[in-house]
Amino acid sequence: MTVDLFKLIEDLRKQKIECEIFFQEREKSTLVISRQEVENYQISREYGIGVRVIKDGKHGFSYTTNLDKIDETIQRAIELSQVMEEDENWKFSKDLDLKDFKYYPEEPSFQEKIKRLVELEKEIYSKDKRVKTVRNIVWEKTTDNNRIISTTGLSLEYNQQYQYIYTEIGASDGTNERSGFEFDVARSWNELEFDKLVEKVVWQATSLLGALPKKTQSVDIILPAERASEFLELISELFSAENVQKGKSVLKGLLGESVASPILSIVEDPLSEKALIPRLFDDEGIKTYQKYFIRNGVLENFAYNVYSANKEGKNSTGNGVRGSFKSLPQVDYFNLYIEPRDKSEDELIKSVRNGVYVISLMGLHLADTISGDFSLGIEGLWIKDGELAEPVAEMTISGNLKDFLKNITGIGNKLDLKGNINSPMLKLEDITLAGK
Amino acid sequence: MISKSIAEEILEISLSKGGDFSELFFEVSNSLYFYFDDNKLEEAVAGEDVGVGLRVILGDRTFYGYTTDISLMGLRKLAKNLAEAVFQGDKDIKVVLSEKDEYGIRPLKDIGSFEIKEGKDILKIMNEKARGYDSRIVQFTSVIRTVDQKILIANTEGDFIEDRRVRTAVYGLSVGSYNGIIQTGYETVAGTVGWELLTEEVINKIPYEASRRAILLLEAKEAPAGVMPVVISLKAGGVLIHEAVGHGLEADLVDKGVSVYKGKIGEKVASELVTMVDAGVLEGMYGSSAVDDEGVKTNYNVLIDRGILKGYMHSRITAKKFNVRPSGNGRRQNFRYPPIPRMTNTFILPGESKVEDMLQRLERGIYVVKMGGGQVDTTSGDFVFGIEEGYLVINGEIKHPIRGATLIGNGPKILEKIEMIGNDIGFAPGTCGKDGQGVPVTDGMPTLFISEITIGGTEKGE
Repeated sequence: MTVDLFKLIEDLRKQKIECEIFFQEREKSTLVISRQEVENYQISREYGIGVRVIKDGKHGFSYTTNLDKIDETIQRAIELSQVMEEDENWKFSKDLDLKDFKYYPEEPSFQEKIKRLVELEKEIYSKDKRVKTVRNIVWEKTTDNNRIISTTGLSLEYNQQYQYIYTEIGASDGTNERSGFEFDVARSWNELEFDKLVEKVVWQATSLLGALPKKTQSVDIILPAERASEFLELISELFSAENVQKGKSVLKGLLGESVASPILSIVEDPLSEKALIPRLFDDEGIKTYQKYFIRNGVLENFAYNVYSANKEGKNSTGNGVRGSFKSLPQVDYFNLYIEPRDKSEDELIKSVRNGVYVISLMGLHLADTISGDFSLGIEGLWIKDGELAEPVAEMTISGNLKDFLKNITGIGNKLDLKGNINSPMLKLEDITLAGK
Repeated sequence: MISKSIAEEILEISLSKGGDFSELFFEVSNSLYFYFDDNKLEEAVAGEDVGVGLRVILGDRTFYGYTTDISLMGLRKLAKNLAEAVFQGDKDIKVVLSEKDEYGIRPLKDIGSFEIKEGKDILKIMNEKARGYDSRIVQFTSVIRTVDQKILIANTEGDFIEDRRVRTAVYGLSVGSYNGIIQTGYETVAGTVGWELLTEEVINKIPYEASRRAILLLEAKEAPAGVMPVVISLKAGGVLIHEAVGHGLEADLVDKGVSVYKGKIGEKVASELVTMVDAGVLEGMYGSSAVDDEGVKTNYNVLIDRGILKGYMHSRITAKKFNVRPSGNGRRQNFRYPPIPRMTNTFILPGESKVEDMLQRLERGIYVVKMGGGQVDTTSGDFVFGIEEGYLVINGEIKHPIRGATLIGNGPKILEKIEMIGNDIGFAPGTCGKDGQGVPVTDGMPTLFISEITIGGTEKGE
């Protein structure tokens, strides 16, 4: 970098311009395996800078990938701020020097990884004769080094690393073809569970062979952990104070009230050592802490970043997250999950007389988290008198997230902190299933 | 932009340890983004994304790397790293690029000439219109985004190509609330054009349509659940064709055996009424460009001709595997990604039927006036798409609006059940996601009559 950052900050201070600079260094490696070969090999490193300014109470933002253009980028942010209205809710944290460095175990060499992934493809094929194709196996690791400094005396520095692996396969019984998709995510290579991935993805594709729709009816639904986590991701939008303040959450005005089944507790635990990405502070320098959004069915908290908190004269809850240098701090979560209860997964399935074990959900991004309405395509196994039976597909489940929270009648006792948002298995009652 | 001699040097370094083909993709993207919410402009963001993606192909293998360090040193390092990864032994390669081919649109109003204040004023006007539509509109969110993407492609076949794409999109979302129910409506207009997209007509249409839909849905009834005939309006967009068949015709998926349309060229895959086209060459549409992201000229590709499958959509890599010419469908989100086969502007050609006749055929069915997004499982062909605006029709008569429904079907089966095609056509822009990459596309369809599809509503029982 050719720019003297500290001099720059000093100059801005003299001009009474508050400025915050977010530096991101990202390293990404990718391996794609197909037909026993490396189909795609990728290693890259990039830099980005996001600049926020507050001048005359007006907030401006600009970003660039060109480290030599930091001066210009600041000028552009100032220029943009002048079309904004004065808004005292934009604030930069003051006089904080926080560091959060995580140490990750040394990774095996690329050659070793390639060998393991090629082996994995073989294992998938040999697991079941009906597996006809493995589209590919994708592994990707991302390492970020982030630094945030400001004229208000803010200095934050942290790193994070995660890697994931996923595969998509096709199975055929001669007349019908079905796919399986499964992923695993972890901090380091050694934490990835390859055997489980093989087992799950092959089970998914082969057990769905011959799937047919059932007639339209009201049923119980079993959502295994991965599918329940996808629902929790939708539900997490309802706790965002940004959304609540703007009338974009069906939970608006319900703080302190019973909004969910009494067995449901949703907690954020950013400090847990088991979290995929544990965080001591958020991207605005606010210290994170454990908190319940829903405890025993009662809505206890909303999630705030600095801006939304200032709007209500409250403190930020440490939920200001910057997805990348290209975005502003927005409400998001660090390690959010549904608390496990006492039922084993077997017990939950056994308790269903008539229902569906959901293997895949289609159209999650079509769910409307503002109205709460969802209508999703499902594939899965029919459950008859507590036993998994024939496969079903080309059907939908529909409802509203508000009712979804209340319809949860069973929660599993097994919670894996796999991604950033996790859930144990869930059982729901009285869900409309549309079929033939 | 990078000079010819530098591009030649970088390509030579990248192939210095082996490889059949190398390509440099240089991109300078400037974007301007306005976000209006809660009665005020909340964000005005100017951003610059500059970088180089480099790839070496050796047999079926691709080695890819990108960097934001576009200094000569940065580029040499990137090329060297790739060559080290390829490592087939020292090769002496001479790359000679041809004279530069320059393409690209010249927008009437580009980023440089745009007054930031004008953007704010437009959003303010839209906000007033949206909220003024009905007192039950409690929130209006709108976005204007424009991206000016300049790219340069140089490859070891000698191509040296520059293209410029300027894309602008405007979006409005109205939130209606009444009696404890919240509903939303949205409308979007987008194209490969500059700020001239923002005509008075567009500025009126976005808030009006968004608020009209939000209020309509507040008054809507639960959608029925089960199998029914549907008529899909030309105004609905073309998501159905994008999901039901489009993705399955992307050659990488066909090659890997995860498409229900693999091995079906020359066979009947749809009703003989259906002729389907993907055309990146159409001027101004959101999925258009002069060349694709591999420097191949875009085209007008007839994929299904009167029900018979004619071909797939190809990148350079898949075209080589299938022994056909690249079709101009090799696209990438930006320099961070290798190109893969993608749709551009995908549509069904008009037929001869009249809308009234199609609606008359609905004894009890759904009239879909606006579709939302969708998703497909290309292996089985099962797909879903959302209804943003739909009505229950009984004996040819529109009864009432419905809400909260997704439609689900199987691609090949639904294509056979398209029994009438209207003498009209409508298009809608969108962003299509595949393998973690989003690219701008347009989908289009005439009004269609489909004899059977599953409606995923919530209405319990008959």
